[in-house]
Order: sequence, then C-alpha cells, then structure tokens
Amino acid sequence: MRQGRWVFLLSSIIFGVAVMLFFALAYPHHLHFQEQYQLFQFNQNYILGVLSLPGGVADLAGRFLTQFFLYAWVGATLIALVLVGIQYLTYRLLSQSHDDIFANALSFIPSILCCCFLCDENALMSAPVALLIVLGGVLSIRCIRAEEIRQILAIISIPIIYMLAGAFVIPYTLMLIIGEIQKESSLRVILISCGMLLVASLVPVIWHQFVHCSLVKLYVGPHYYRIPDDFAIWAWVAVGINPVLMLLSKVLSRWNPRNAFVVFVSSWGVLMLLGGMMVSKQQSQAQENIMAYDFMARNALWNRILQKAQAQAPRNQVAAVALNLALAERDMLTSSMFEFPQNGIAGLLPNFTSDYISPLVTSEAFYRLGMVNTAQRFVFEAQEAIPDFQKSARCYKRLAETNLINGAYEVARKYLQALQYTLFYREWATETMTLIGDDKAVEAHPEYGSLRKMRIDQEHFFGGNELHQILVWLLEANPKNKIAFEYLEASCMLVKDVEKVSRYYSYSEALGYKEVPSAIQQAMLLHWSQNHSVSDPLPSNVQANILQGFKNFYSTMQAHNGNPAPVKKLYGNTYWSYYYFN
Amino acid sequence: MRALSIYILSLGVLLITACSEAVSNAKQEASLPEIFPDYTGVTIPVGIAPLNFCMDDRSALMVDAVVTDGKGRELHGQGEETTGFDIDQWHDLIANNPGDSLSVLVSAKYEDGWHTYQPFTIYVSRDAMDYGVVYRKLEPGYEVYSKMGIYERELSTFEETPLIENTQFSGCVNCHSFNKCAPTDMSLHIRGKHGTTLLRLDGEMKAYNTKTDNTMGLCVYPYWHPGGRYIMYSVNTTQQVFHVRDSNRIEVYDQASDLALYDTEKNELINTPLLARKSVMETFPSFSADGKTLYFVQATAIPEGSKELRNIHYNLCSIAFDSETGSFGEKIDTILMAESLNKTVTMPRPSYDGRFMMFTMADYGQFPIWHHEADLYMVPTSDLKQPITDVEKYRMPVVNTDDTESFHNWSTNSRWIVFSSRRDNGLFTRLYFSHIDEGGKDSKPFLMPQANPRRYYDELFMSYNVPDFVTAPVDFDDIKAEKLINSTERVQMKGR
Repeated sequence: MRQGRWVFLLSSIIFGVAVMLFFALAYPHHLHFQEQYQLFQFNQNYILGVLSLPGGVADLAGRFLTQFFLYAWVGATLIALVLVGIQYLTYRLLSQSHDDIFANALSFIPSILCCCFLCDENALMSAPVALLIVLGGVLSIRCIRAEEIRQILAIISIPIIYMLAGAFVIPYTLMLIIGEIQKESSLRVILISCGMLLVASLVPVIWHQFVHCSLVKLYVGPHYYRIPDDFAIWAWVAVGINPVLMLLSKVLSRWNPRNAFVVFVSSWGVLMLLGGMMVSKQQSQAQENIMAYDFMARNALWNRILQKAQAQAPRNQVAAVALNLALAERDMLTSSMFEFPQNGIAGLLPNFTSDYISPLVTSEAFYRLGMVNTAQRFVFEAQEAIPDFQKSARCYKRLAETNLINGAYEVARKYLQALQYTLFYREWATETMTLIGDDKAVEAHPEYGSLRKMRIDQEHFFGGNELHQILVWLLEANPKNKIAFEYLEASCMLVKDVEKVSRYYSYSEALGYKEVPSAIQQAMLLHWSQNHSVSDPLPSNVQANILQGFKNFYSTMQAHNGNPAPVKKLYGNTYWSYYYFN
Repeated sequence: MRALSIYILSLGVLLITACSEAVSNAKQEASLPEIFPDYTGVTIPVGIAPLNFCMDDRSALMVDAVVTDGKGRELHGQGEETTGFDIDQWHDLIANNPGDSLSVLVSAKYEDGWHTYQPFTIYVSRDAMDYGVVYRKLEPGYEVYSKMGIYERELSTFEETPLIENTQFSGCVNCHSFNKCAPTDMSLHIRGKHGTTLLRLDGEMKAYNTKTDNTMGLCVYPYWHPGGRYIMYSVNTTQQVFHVRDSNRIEVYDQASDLALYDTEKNELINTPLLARKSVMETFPSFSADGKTLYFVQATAIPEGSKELRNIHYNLCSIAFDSETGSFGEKIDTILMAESLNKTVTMPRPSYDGRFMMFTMADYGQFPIWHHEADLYMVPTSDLKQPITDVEKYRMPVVNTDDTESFHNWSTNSRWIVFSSRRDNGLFTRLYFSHIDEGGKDSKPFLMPQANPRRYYDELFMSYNVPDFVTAPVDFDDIKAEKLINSTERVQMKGR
C-alpha cells in the first residue's frame, strides 16, 4: 500500500478528532467533574507524596493533565492526544513492517477501550498515562538488539516500570515475554520469561514492606480508579489486550491481501463503528446530566439551569436541588416550583449523605441561604468522602470562603495558601488573601459581606430535622433574606404542611412581593378549604383565577374518583396535584 | 584524585558561605522577636529536636539566630524560611546545659535591611522526656473521614513513622493506648467495615470483637491498669449535631455510655452494675498510679432525642479497685461536682508518679476538642481526697489560652505533658509540650518542633489526635495488623 503512512496518519487524526469532539461536546461535564475531585499543587510535598507510591509518575502526570479539565475543550484535546499516543505506540508495538495494515487497524483497540474506560466518572487519567508508559517501556526494550543485554534490561525494567506506571507491570512483562518468544522460543528464553514473571509478581510484595497500602491495591493499582476497592476493568482490558494483539498481529502479518487499502479502510471502519457502539454503551448521559446541573450550580448559571429544566424535567436529586436553587435565586421558587417534578424535601435541602457528589450541590443551597456553617460542613464532608483521599480545589475554594465569612481568617489562609500552589486558582487565591484579617473589607465584599449579615444571629444545633426552625431563625436574623423565605415556604409545601405555609407568609412583608406567589396561593387555598365551609369568606390574597383553578381541580378529581392520571394530566403543574398525588 | 577532593571541598565551602549572609548594619530593636513557633522563654528537655523557627511576620526575607550557652558556646542558624539549626550541634549544645539556660539572639532581614531583637531565653530542664510520641492524624472533620493513620514521632529528630494508615484497609483507625507509655502493650480500635480492636500483649497481636451480650456496644476509650492485666474501656453510643452559628463546629455527645473492665488473662469483659447504670453516662476511665483507684467522669443521661446538650455536665468521680480480684468498691465518690459550676470535666489523667491529676474542663459535653473554651486543670492528688470546691485555683496558669486545650498525657517520669491545642489557627490541632516541675508549676509550652515549622504546619491539613508518650519505638507490624484487620477472624471477648 503506497499511501500507507498518509492513510495511517489520517486514520489517527480522524480518531483523535472524534475523541475530542465526544468529550468536548457530549461529555464536557464529566471533565469538570474529574477536575473538581483533585487539587494539583506545584508543591514539593504534594509531588513527592504522589510519587512515593508505585505508579506515582503515571499518577502525577494523570493529575497534571486532569487539572486542565476545568476547561472542557482543553481537557478533551488532552484526552485525544493521550489516546492517539497510545494508538501510535501500540502500532509501533504491533507493526511487523512499515505498512502493516492489520497492525494499524488493531492498534486502535487499546485506545478505544481506554475511551470506554474514561466514560466512567471514576476513571482516572493515570491509567491511560500508565499504559503510555508501559508501551513506551516495551518499545524501548525492544529497540535493544544485543539479546543478552536486552533480556537483562528487560528484567531490570520491571521494578522501574512498576515504580513509574504501577500495577500494569504484569501486562508489561507479558508483552516483553511475547516479544522475546517471537524472536526465539528456546528453553533459555522460557526460563528467562519465567524469571521475568516471578520478578513482576514479587515487586508488589516487596513494595508492600515499605508503603502503607494494602497488597491487593498494590496488585491492582491504587491510582487507576477513584474507588480503591474497585477494579478498573476497562483500563485493565485496554492494557491486557496488548499481548493478545501482539500474537494476533503476528498471525495476520502473514496474510498479504491484494487490495490492502480497501482491507485497511474497511477493517478500520468496522473497528470505529464497534468502538463507537461500545463508547455509546459505556457513556452515561444520565450522569452527564447530573454533572451538568452540579456544574451550573457551582458557577451560579441560574438561567441555564432553568432553560435546561424547561427543555427536560430533572429526574434526580442533584438536578432537583440545583433547579430549586435556581428558581429561588430568580425569585420563582414559590411560584413555579410545581411546574417541575418535585420529590419532597430531598429535592430541596436533602439531609447529608456520606458521598462526594450530592452534598456539593446541597452546600451551594445552604451557602446562598446564609447557612454558612452548614454549607461548610457539607463541603468539608464531601471532600472527606472522596474515595481516593484526594483533595478538591472546588472544596478548598469554598472552605476558604466560608472561613472568611465566619472570620476564621487563619483557617481561610491555609486553604488560600494551598490554592496558591495551583495553576488555575492561584490568581483568585492571591486576590482573596488580601481580605484576611480585614473585617471591613469582608463586610464590604458583595458576596461575603452579605452572607456574613445573613447568618443566624444566635447559636443553635442542627441535626437535620430542624430545617423549618432554622429557616425561620434565618429570616428573623435578616428579614430581607428572600431566598430563606422562598425555601421556608417551599419546604412547608413539600412536607404538605399548609397551615405553616399560611402562617409563615407573614415573613414576606419585608420582601416586596407584589402579589402572593401562585404556589403559596394554592397552598393557602387548600389550607382554607380544610378549615372553612364554602360559605366562609375567602382569604383576601387569593386571586380569582387560582380559586377557579382550585374548583376545576376539585371537580376533575371528583369526576375521576381520585384517579391521579387524568387529574395530573390537567393539573400536574399545581401544588394541589403534588399535595394529593405525591 | 587529591585535586578533585580539594575542588569538591572548595566548592562545598563556597556553597556554604554563599548560602549564609552576615548580619550587617542591623537596626537594634527594643523588643523580643515575634517568631513562629513562639519558643521565647520555653523549657525544653535535653534530647529534643532543634527548635527551628521563622519570623512570625511573613514578610521577613531571612532569619538568623545565634544560640549561646553560659560558657560562650554558640550555635548559628540562618535561612530564608527557618533557622535550620544543625541537629548534631544542637544536641551537643543542649546536652551540655541541663538545668541551665540558652540565650537566643535573633536577627531578621526585611526589605529595609537587618533588624536585631532583644535576646530571649530557652531553659533546658534536667528532666528527660520519653523517646517519642504516638498520635493519630486526621482532618478535623465531622462524620466522614479521609486518609488518616497512627504515627510515631521520634522527639530527638524530625522523623515521623506511620504505624498504620487506613490506606491498608477500609475503615478508620481510632483510639490507641499504651500501658504507661510502654509500646509492648497496645490497644487500637478500627472502625468501619473491618471494625475490630487490635490488642498487642507482650508483643503478640490479635483482633478482638469487643461487643458482648452484656455490653451495649463496642469498646471505645481504653486505659490500662498499671499492673498490665486489665484494661478499662468505655462503651459509648455516640451522636453528633452541628452548630449553625457558633465557632464550635460540631457537638459529639453520648446518648449512653458505660464502663467495662477487660481481663486480658481470662479474655473477659466484666460489667460492673455500678459503672453501667442506665440513667448515668460513665466514660473516660483512668487508673491511679498505684492502680487502686479508678477515675472516670459521669453525667446524667439526657432523654433520647433531646438536644439539650448544654445541660450535659460530667462530674469527676472515683471508685476503689482491687486488682487482685478485679473488683470495684461499693460506692462512687464524686471528686468534682462540675455540674454545680455549669461546667464539664473530661479526660482525667493521673500522673504516673501519683502526684497530680490533670483533666480538661469545658462548658458542657464530653468532646472538648471542639470547644474553644476548653482548658487544662491540674490538681494535686492529695486534694482529691475531699470534694473540690474551688476548681479555678487548679486551672493551669501558663499552658492555657483562649482557644482549645484538650487531650493530654504524661511522660513516664511525670515531668512533661503533651497536649492538643488549637491556639494557632482555631481549627487544626497541634501538639504542645510543657514541663511540670516538682512543685507542679507548668512551664510555657512549646510546639512540637519541625525542620521547617512554617512550611510544615502551613501545609498540614490534619489535626493531631490522642497524643501519648512512648518510651521506645513501637515497632508495630503493620503488615500483620493489615492481615488481621482485613480477615474476618476475631477473638470474641467473653462477657461477664
């Protein structure tokens, strides 16, 4: 095939662009998600700490790349480059000649598998980087022509690769062995191969004597996957398939098809198709959706949240919390919340759960309510729950803010100092550092100053069940805290306490509502209907159209003997529907 | 070869002189230097690691210190961040000055040049400190935990060795305890999926299940009987709530707690009705130096679900103990009725020489590390025979600050204490040491030395927890411990 190199290059470029477009356009919030669960610091202690475990170099490089995921396009480009790099090195490993079409086609398989791996939100970049190191190591050893020197260096390289790339040393060793056997299958080579396998299997045991990490983790790789007890299956398949591909490539290289170009393009096309299907199966748009809401809440993109929810109603707790926060920020919570599905208080201000995802968006709500200590707790705990014990730049930033607001300046300083070692948070941290110890500057700050004033002025305990009371205290501390009022009324409606909805409406006086928000009117009317007869005068602040709507709702409900489906169809966006059918 | 040696030597000299800058044209200041850590006027033991420090003011470009003893011997340290004293020269200097004092002349370079401050004094005690301290390090969190471990720090160097970390298993490492600082006998709790109590007796380690039919839960706070046969444990049902405004972030409290005695020879966890009453919460046990008295604190249990946590006040109590029979006396004596003062007493720790009792006092509850008002109190043992009426006279005058002073332990010679304090930043607990002289006078405490204290403590986001002295390296077989923890095999304690 004359045009071999160009075709190969073009196939790699198309693959790389496809990967980049997928992550940048279809999966950007997975990249944001990855970035927020690490804190890459250009700091000696941090770097040495990462390097001190086997696979530390791959881990450090993976973390270095992940910090760029703050910008999805940059992250997507880096992923594409890494995967194309893996493909290229795999091709070099498999190719028996300059225009080995089968080697080129097969070389895309590990990269496709890596792409499947990276669809998982807990997949860490250190695994693809470790694969790059492993492939680079095998190719470097194979370059050595002197047999004995090569075999000695191969054995020596095993602990080095373990130090650099971690547990992928086993497939690395298998690749070396296959390479040797493909050159010569003598008894000596078999004995050397056994020796290499023995070294590879003993290296983790030796490391175990020196590092505080369980032996199982040392064998499966402590850095490839965020959840240490889980096995990074796709990453292992991606690296483990290389020895198989080496054998397959050798077999296929004997076949010399007449029309190599057609064979290559068709086999490549089939692989791409299969790869696309696998990636499509592995990727999770539901998770991407959750991450999108979290990203928008983190960046206060309230209008975007509302637009997204209007296009497709949120179906999970994180999205519901973000949506309700966006509604409250736009003064629409108590008027429009039932236009979207609501799942009780858990969709407004859920109790703490020991995970590293949902408390973050809940903490955004607490923060904006002025419950600074509670926001701080949720952020702190979310960070503590990161399974691989990394720290989070997002959490550090918020913890610096909450401590500034609370006047805990020395604690805030610590977080800001750590952020000053980062690439993308340094500038913010340095600017914010000027507020340390300066109460007047904090009070004059548009965000921190107002949140300092919004805090509850008396000390109370919060165990999770005192939400209504806490919101009341917030309002009493600051009667102009409109978001607290919206949350108070919303929480009462969600727990179906219509008596309290009516009672707490008195807190709206200082908030400048021109009319009673529609959902509150619906709740008030419901409360009135439960305690009054038809002849009693109606509450003055209920509008005629709401009253008419209520009458229609009731008659529809009676007409269908309480069957929810037809009533929900007509009145699903009312509080009455939520009250009776949720 | 010789030429090469001379070249290397010359290069070394050049490097050393290039790194050191002479203090010149210094402005003489009338004040003492403000340094971090504040080592001015502290008392230290012979053998402690160099007290490196930096200027408290972060704008200093360089710090220079000359330590001089009464015989004119000098030690010079200088650096951009810290004094960086040579460890061998430091040890030589203090080893030659037990019972004497050292004078430290500090100069600092700022943009406008050098400033030299009034010299301060460091006192070198004749009383030795133990080999090291063992502590837990973890982030000062609420309910969830990240990486943590039990660490040993050799006090004559800056060497810290992890004994076990939760990277070796899924769970958290909890209270560790030694028998009078002897590392051979050790109790260590593991919580979580692989929860157990590891007990090392005479060097042999086993994993125990401490829940028995007679106790309400797992053993929590341990204290060894000086005879070594018994360990007194508290058994606690713990809850947490959170402050919405207060600078105290979290309140950890017991809904119920009892005390139970573990007999290591019979593998029996002995329940004593007097120490396991339903209406009373007993916790934080400790034995007197002679082993004949058990000290503990107790409070009236609050109704289930109640948030009246400010009404939980623990009193300091004692009960007689007979180590021959493993039995307790028939009555509990209340030594300090803290509830009448609207206070709470926790963590009573008798000195090993039998002279003193030290405890932490706070406004309420049993978890003083989260109480900024918590302070240390020390009472002569002779004063424990009668109920204490005027407790304020026992408040330690020097070691306490406006911030938290809490968990404390004694060195084996009972002349040093190690305690936790949040004085530096209000959140991250650090370890301080103070000398207690013959008359019971506490000295100004010093922060645990580090090679570069500013950098070390700035970058450390963990708190020190449950510090205790050890007389020798713990020599902990973490690989065996890991195997024991990760296995399902447990030695079941028998309830009695």
